[in-house]
Amino acid sequence: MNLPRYDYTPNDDFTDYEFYSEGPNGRIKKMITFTVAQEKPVLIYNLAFGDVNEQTGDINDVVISNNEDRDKVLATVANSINDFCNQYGNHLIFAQGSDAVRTRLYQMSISRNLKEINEEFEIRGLTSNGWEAFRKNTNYNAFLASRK
Amino acid sequence: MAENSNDTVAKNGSAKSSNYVKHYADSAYVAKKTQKARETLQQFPVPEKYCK
Repeated sequence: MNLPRYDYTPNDDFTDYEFYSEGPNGRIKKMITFTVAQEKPVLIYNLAFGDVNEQTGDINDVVISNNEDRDKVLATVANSINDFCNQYGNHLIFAQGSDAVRTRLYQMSISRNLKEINEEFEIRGLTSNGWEAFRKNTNYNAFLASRK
Repeated sequence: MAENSNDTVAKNGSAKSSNYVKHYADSAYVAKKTQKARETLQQFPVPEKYCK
């Protein structure tokens, strides 16, 4: 994806990534982590993403940062999927916001950058009727990404 | 080649890993998100055509 993104640091097994969002609300530490969500019939990893409280180390899933860099953050997350898949193979990656508002924000970012995302990834969306190929102007409850 | 014992370069990538990045998998937040993902995937299995 040829979109601006943040540099990040993965941990030693490339399952966790940290980076800093920079914008009007300051420098905010972010984390991305991949965990196994399903082993059979096909391996699917969950992608969790959030702000890190640097004092406590806790992850904040309530506040929306409003750091005016959503697309840059999305490109950073997409790049972490690439690095993760480089290590572990091309598996399905599941992502879902912690609430409907956040899921909608993810959906809007994906829609805005769908052309660039589709160069590298297949994106599926979950509706109340099940999974389908991601389409703009459709509301989804969760997403699946797979590297082409 | 790693620059020191705490850094390694990603296979086919440029990102350097670090022992100092926390493992978040055991955090309550990630555990909750993983469980939610499991429940969603059980309720809505991914069709085989999307698994290839």
